Amino acid sequence: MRISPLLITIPLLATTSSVLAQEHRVQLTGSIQSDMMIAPMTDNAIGAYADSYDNNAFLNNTYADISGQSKYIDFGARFELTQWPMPGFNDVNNHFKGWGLPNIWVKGKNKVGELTLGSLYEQFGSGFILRSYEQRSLGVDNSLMGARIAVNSIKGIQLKVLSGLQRRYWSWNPKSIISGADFNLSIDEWAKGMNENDHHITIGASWVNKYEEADDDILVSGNPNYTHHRLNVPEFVNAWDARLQYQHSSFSLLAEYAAKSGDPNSLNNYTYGKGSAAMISLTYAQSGLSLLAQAKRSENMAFRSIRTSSALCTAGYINHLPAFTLDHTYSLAALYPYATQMEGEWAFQGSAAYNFKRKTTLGGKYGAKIKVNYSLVKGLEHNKDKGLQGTDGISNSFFALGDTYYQDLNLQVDKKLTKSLELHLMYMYQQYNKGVIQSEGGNIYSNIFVAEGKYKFNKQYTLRAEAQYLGTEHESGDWYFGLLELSIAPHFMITASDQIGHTEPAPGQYGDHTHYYNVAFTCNYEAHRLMLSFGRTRAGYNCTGGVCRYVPASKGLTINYNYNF
Amino acid sequence: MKKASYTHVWTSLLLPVLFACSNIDEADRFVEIEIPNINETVDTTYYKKNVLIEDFTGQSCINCPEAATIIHEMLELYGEDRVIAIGIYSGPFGSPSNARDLDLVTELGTTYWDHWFNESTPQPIGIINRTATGSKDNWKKQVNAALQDSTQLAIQADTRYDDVTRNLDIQLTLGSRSPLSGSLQILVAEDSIQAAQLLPNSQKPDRTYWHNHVLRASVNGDWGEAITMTDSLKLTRSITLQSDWRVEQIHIITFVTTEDQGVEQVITTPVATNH
Repeated sequence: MRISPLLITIPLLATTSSVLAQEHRVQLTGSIQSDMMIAPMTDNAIGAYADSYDNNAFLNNTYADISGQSKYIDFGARFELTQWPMPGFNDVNNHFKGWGLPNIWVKGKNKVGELTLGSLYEQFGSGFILRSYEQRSLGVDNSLMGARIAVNSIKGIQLKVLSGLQRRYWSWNPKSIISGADFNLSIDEWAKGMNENDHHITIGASWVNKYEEADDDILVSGNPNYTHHRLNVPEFVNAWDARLQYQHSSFSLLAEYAAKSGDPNSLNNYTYGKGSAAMISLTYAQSGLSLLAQAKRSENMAFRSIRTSSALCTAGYINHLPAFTLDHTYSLAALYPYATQMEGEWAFQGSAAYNFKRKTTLGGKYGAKIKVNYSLVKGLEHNKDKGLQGTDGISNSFFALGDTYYQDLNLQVDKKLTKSLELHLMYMYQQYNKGVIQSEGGNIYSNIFVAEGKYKFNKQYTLRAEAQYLGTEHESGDWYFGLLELSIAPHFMITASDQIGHTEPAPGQYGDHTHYYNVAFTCNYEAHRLMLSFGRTRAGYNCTGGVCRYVPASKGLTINYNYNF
Repeated sequence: MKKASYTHVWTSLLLPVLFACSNIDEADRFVEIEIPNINETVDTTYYKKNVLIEDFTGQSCINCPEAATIIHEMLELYGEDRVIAIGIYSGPFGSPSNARDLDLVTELGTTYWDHWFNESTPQPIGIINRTATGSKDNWKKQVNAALQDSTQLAIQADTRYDDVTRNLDIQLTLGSRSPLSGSLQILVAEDSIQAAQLLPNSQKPDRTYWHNHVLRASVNGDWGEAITMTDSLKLTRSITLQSDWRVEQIHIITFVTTEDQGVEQVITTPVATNH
């Protein structure tokens, strides 16, 4: 269902205008983002096919936001146009095709609290049981359309209650209602001694309920005891979360636990076992040194608004489980990105960073920074075995570890060598279990080297260069990447890059060397940014925070425009 | 009792209530359903329609063996004459991970994949009677619904095979209760092919895996041939079986599609050898 803008904007404008008449000051902000591809081309060498896009010569994803803030009323809306979506957004069911006003909201606020009607983005705790957010590069927008009350009038206490329908592409499923409550208490606000001694403690508790009509005919498959039966599924699924946050001086601790009642869905093979997630995170930062150590265990915590959604679809998640792996920005380091395995995993991450001060032995004249990070993700005891449909599923011992899904160790050094020259070096060792993460293939072990230099000729001209190498005996073999970028302050930037690797005409076979070249011209003027680029894009996965989207190979002219006001 | 203790008691009482609303005991999770009567005709006007499931599968697809298990379950439950499956090895996961292994992907299968799907389509994926597409989790529900349908068309196929020439003749008799225009397709499938298959939780392919209903070829063109009939139609089509196909494992899948009904009727026929 698409909401007609008129049904909401007219009463919205009527309400806001009467209030604004009393409070004249309204601050408007907004943005326009448009990603366009002109005349996508066929390029057999990389597997790019123009007829994949119904022979459309113009593809674009366009978003226009506006919001207003005043003393008592805030409001906002977003127009989206994805009728001819960009590569990676044109699935076989045309889910992304459409245009309209899918995001519109109004918020009233005073000293007691806030009432929001319309589109809601919200996160409870770390997101284990509720996280509604927008991530355009992934095509994720799982906002709730409903109402939220937030009360913060009592010192140290925050209380929220909400309810709504979850957005899934261009519709909101009226047969599935998400409701929840969140409570946070800052104990140190009430204990004067704690605050004065720099001890800060916050406890939080949340609850989320999903009501989904049980009108699916889910016929039992793969259970020899029940061959001509359908499943009686629960219409209510409850999840709760409890957390403790402690901070003292340079040290902080976060401990969080979440649980979910029986929730048979496509991802857990329609089993009825309960889900859980536990996390502990420790950080320390002082005198140029920062340390992080964290661990997380999750089991059967995929929480979706539609129980029969394809297991491979990223849409419709009510919650979010962080990946505990770095989101790498260098092309070759991001060649094999990790996606959180919602069936269950153990994840560990540790990192240490140190700033060497200027004019010290290791810091040199300008200082230096070194950072090391290690991430390890392993399966649960029985990895991805789920058990027979209709049962409680397979029980995994809490501390038992399964196969390695992913690990990477990376070391980064930042050093300014001269007044004009900066250097960034990175080494990374990576193990990527493609069979688990992409459901095909084996382990890929890689060594990745990155060198990036930036030289400032003068106030106007700066040159940045990157060289990357990925060495592996697996998949399609070694990769090379080179980039040159010239910045002409204050407005222009010219970039040229090439990524070279083997094609893979068939699994396990090496093809010819292929160049994924790209040239780009960027112009910034005040609040406007325009980038024109032409070249080849390799097929692969675009991941952020453990959530990934497949992007097919493409070739053509792309234009990216951003405007913020 | 102190005030904090009362709160603790009520909270402890409420939590089980919240979870009790959502827990279903194992004994109450399964509801028996009626299996469609496989021998019944609705009335003299129509026949019961069989169901064709086109399984777009692959040797590098670790979820595909589970799909094959679901198909096997449906064949046992509904009967091999009522549910007819064909495995179309295709898509990004079609070929084996090792190029030295027997590859079950055909040009014909790739043509079908390119027509219905694209490289971002997850596998396995199935098409039921050319009217519904779905992942394996939905197949049983879709097939069960499709088995309720009726059709005006009956098909009978007789095969004659010559060992020496390896020529296979397929004599078809079609009978329709009313005039019909559509497309006739005759496909060759082979069972019990032992070849590599990637399985879940294993990084090496299982080379002892048995593949069934494997699409080998079309007898009458990639997309069949147009037919028009008033009440009956007889025709004969032929194909020479390739040397590596085992005739005793071959079966012929014959189906007619129409624009508004998808698959109008489908049958499967083993090969009768002529010694």
